[in-house]
Amino acid sequence: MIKFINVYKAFNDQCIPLKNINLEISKGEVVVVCGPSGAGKSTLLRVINKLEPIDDGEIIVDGMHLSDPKTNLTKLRAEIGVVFQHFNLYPHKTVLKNITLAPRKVRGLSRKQAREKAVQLLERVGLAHKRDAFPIQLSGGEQQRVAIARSLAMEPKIMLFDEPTSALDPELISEVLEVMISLVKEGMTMVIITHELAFAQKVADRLIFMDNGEILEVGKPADILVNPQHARTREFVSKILHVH
Amino acid sequence: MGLLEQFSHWNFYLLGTYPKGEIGGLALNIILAALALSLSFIFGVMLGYSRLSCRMYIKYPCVAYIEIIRATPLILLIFWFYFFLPYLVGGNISIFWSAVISLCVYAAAYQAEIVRAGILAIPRGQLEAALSTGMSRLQAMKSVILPQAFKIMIPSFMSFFVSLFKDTSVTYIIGVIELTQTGIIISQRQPDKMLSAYLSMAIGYFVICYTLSHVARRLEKKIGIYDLESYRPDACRDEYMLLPTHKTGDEEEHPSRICSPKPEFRKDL
Amino acid sequence: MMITGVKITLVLLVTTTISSLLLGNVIAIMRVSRTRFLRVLGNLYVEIFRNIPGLFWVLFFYFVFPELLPSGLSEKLNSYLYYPVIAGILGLTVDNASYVSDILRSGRLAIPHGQREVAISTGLNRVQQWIYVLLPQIYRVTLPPLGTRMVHNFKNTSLCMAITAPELTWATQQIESLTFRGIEATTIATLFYICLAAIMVSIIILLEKYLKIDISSITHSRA
Repeated sequence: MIKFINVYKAFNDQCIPLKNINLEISKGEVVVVCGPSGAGKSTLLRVINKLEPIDDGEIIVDGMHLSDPKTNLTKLRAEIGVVFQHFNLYPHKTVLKNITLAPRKVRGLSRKQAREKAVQLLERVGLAHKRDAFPIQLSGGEQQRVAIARSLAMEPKIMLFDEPTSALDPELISEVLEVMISLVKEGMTMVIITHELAFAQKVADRLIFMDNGEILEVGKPADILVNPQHARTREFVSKILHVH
Repeated sequence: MGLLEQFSHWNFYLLGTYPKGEIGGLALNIILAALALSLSFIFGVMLGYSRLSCRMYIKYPCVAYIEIIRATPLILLIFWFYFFLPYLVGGNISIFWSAVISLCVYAAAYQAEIVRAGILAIPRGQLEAALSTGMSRLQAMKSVILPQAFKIMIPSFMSFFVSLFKDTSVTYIIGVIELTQTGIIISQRQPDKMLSAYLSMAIGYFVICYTLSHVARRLEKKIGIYDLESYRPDACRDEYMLLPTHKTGDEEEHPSRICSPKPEFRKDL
Repeated sequence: MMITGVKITLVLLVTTTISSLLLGNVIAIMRVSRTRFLRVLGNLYVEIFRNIPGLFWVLFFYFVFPELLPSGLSEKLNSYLYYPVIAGILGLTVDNASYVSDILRSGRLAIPHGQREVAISTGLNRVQQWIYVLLPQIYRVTLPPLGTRMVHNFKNTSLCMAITAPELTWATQQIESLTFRGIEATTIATLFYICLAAIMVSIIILLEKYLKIDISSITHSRA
């Protein structure tokens, strides 16, 4: 589904560089990426739908080659849902309109169709009663659930999560994680950046540890968390587990 | 007492020779400013948007236009069009229209800067979110970025209108009979009434500008409270208060702009 | 004629820049003063001068101002060859000073309250507080808008042609009416304005870089 082949990304002022990334993620797999800040986790995620371009190597997503100029970026991005750390809801639109905007503009759904689907999705994330609220009126956890619903409205094949819970108050984290777990159960292909290691252990098929733009370890979450091979991983895991 | 007699001229100050002849005076100032602002609006938006383009052949002509116009005194612009428009069109053109056209050319450059600043004030995440749901750049601009940006820009447009309104006084130099011209005509015909003529001029400008700029300031406060805070709480609020909202050519260099969104949009987005 | 024009334009630029900075400073300090009377006076000044075009003030100082003076003095002024230039300087100064004071005042408001408190607690008197602590910071923070304002003021010197001050724009119009070579003269004048504006902008950017380094080195040594 997603394949990284020798991906390099040089340093620029907007993101952290990547070095020699080789990775294959198959359909229905859930991959959790962790590592210290500045490790290039976000960059790894953002190159998948070309929010950041890469300098060398190739990424193939669902059969589409990203470095090929003929690849239809809009179509590619429509297949990939992204959930951001800071939600990035459109502040000038209601919850419902946040969700219906892209299906109507990109998929060409009618207002009614888009609306029905949005209401369905809102029910699923448990926010049907907030459909006419503006994003400012919602709590962080609610905003993030709306953001997830917004991505799902495009019926993506892949979902990317960029630290979806790290901007939330602790008591709001679980409501977002629950929605994500329900997605896992449906067999969605997911790449998740998170520091919630307990959550990772529960849902992830594979765990990736990154530092300095490189993938240091890949493996089953239980293996990496219990018995890390790399010194950097050991240090990181012990620090995180110590806190929790 | 000079002032009292002046009241018989109020019609001339406000409307020129209107019912009998052409409209003039204060009304003409307002018409000039409003026409220039609205006619150049689309052009200004396009310029401001294109200035953010990554394609050099689109960006640099826009930068050149904006910077050249902003570095040229309005008087010279007005003269340029006054003298050379007839050559271009190949016929006579009324001073009113040559004034309107030069004001348009002038206003477009400033509006472009307002639009650019407005677009840049929208956090980058908004564009990324829109693109990630599969919208094209144009769709993202139209339904996500510009609606938010315009809201932020309203006070800037208002205060630009005030400054444009004041700038219309310069058109008296090519003989447009606006407020300054009416004052000068009266003070030349009746030199003893010079003081009251100038006083009337001052009052005319003051009343309009004062009202408009107060409305603008109030709007700015309102929008500042309800909108800017809904964006990233740490982002670019300070310089909104600090910098005048238009004519800020050097804002990238501003020291407090540490957390500002990136000034350039990129090709791949 | 063009060269005289350039000279007069430069004279106007330099004098109005300096005088409007000084006047703007005074007004800005008045507007944040503790005395209510001074505050009101300062605000009144800004409201009046900001809401009436600069062109009006230039005309005012040329035509009306001498009339308000005692008749002997006004005749002397009217017969003085360079009175248009002086009237232009006065008009541009009062206009520009209102903008300058507005910029400086918002700069003052942007400076953290603690700075003033430190200054007070180290025993500086009020004049010293302004000179050593507040003004240097204010100028650093407001340099970009202040710079753009000064470029604007430079363009406004062309307004003085309305009162026959022999500056560059006036010179081009004279050339146009005497020799009909308006195109050449106007082109040269436009280029001159653009170049000088570009020079001013680059000076401001340089100044800003210099001041930034200065400040960062101070904070660095403190840390």
